[in-house]
Amino acid sequence: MGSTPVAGELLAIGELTPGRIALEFRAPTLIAGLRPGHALHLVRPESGGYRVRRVAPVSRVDLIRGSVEVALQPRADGGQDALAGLRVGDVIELNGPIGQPILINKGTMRLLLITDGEGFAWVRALADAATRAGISVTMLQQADTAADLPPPSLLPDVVEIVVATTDGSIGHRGTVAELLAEYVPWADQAVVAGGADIRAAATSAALRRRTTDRTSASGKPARARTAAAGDRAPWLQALLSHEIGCGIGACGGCTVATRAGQVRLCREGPAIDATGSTAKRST
Amino acid sequence: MPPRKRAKVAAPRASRSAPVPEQKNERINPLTVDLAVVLGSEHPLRLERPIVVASGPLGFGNEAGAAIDLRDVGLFVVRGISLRPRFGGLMPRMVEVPGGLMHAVNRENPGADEVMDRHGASWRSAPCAVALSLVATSVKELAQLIERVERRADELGIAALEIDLTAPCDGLEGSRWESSADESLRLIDTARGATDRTLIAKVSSAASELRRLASESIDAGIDVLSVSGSPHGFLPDRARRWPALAAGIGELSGPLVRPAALAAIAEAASGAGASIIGGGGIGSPADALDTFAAGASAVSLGTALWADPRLPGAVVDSLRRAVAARGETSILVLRGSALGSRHE
Ligand SMILES: Cc1cc2nc3c(=O)[nH]c(=O)nc-3n(C[C@H](O)[C@H](O)[C@H](O)COP(=O)(O)O)c2cc1C
Ligand code: FES
Repeated sequence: MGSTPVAGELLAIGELTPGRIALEFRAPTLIAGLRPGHALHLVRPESGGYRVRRVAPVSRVDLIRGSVEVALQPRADGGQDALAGLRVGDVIELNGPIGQPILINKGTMRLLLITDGEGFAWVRALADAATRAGISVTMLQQADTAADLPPPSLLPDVVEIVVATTDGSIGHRGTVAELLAEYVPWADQAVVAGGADIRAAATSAALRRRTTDRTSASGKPARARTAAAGDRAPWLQALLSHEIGCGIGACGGCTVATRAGQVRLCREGPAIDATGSTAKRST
Repeated sequence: MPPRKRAKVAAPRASRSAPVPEQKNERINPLTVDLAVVLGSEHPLRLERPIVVASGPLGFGNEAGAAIDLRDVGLFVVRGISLRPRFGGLMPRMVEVPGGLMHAVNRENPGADEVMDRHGASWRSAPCAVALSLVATSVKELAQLIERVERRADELGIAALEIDLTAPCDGLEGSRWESSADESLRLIDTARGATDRTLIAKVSSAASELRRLASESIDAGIDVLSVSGSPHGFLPDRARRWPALAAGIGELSGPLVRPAALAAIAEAASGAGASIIGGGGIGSPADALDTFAAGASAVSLGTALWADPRLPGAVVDSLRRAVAARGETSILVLRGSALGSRHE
């Protein structure tokens, strides 16, 4: 709905993180307009001919193959996913792009990505694009255990991956929240994608950083760092995802209240200003 | 090739409201079929096509015209509006469930005045009739809301007002109006006192005493009963061991609600009163035909439009063909054709 649907032929089926399926579709006419942060709506007849539009984050774009890889989000009801039954060669309707690209400021040279199994698909394409643009990328990944992590081969070699697992089977034992203090001062910008816990941890870290930035060593208030010309994005963007909906900003199924106002994830999202310091995305 | 003779088919048993004639042998050009329907009699609403866009899925107005071809539609019902702004719940507000979806948008809207300011121009220029869906938690609030919208309704080209009986009622401790026929009738009575416009009352298949409501709502002042609303649903998120919707309870849409909706439409149609708009889970032209057969005079399309924006056009085509195949030229022939002897 909104954009004209495109027929996408399924080229490959993979796995991003355990249980999270990635589908690669040939869709040469669609990919030129896709940017990190965009999603597609996948449309396929389900039971009784009823068709739903499922939100699937764009996790990779391959200009040479003319293809786009999207990630299937698990259904909350744990239900059998008709889309998971697709076979290579099947053709379905793709609608998009849905949402706005993640904004990376001109002056950003160091980008911090904070993610978990749920959010990885939303930032994988950003890691690709940022490193191609010469930006240093560090990705903090959170998982319960080593087996839940995405394979490092899914990211460009130059991305620094820092891992925290709850059981300590690999990397830091604990959560990425405990690593943030070390990486936040380094980054020019950060993006968090994942569950409520890591979003909350990243938001608190961003708020602490703002306070530190505004206070000189002597404890006296200092001027906030001057934004470089052309900077529009806040320091921390949080990516929020939704499952289904109209995709045209009409139904209210994806609206979130932020400090800057109501944001429809399918139109103004999925990136929101996590600390609400700017009103750029208010509707 | 000589025209093939159509086999004589025994006509289905006719309902009281819509006798279905014997199949005729004349050839009717589907394009000559008249799809216009007049809903209600005291304050009639003429729809050029018996197709209604359900309140909510396509929003308040500005976005709808770009999403579907409103020329295939008879009535566009605006997403629910209230006197004061209403806020929706936290995310997730909408999830897929087996056979459909569940939402808890909670009639979120910025208030009637702002919606009229922002979307009024799209209603005026719409190629179909437009109805406002009114959300009120008390009788007094509804009276005030109608007074507010009536000030601008003519200027904005509003043909009808839909009273949302699937919205919560303060007097019923937050349960829906439709859970009490008495409260629903009281609300309708107030609405009738406040407007001369066509009044539609919207209920779901879960409405209590539907048959009584259907027949008594006419006396209370309703012109059209829309039996197309979402019943409640609940589903846990298995991975998080938490409700799948942040609000817990939500409203169901899609094929899973269709059989119950058809039963409710048949029930309401047998109450011999208001004209019926039927809906809930319609996803194909065949589903729409079933809904007419159950007793509806017009069909309501909702979430199926998201993935199938051409559905209204496809329904128009199949209605024309279905009427012509019976050797008739009026859509009325389809109404109630499946009700059978129970209602004779
Ligand atoms: C996101 C969403 C928002 C809705 N908002 C409203 C509303 O504001 N007022 C209303 O009466 N019904 C609302 N509904 C219910 C629909 O009008 C319709 O009754 C329901 O979706 C069942 O029909 P369907 O299965 O054809 O979609 C909404 C439904 C959805 C999915
Ligand atoms: S999905 Fe409908 S408003 Fe975003």
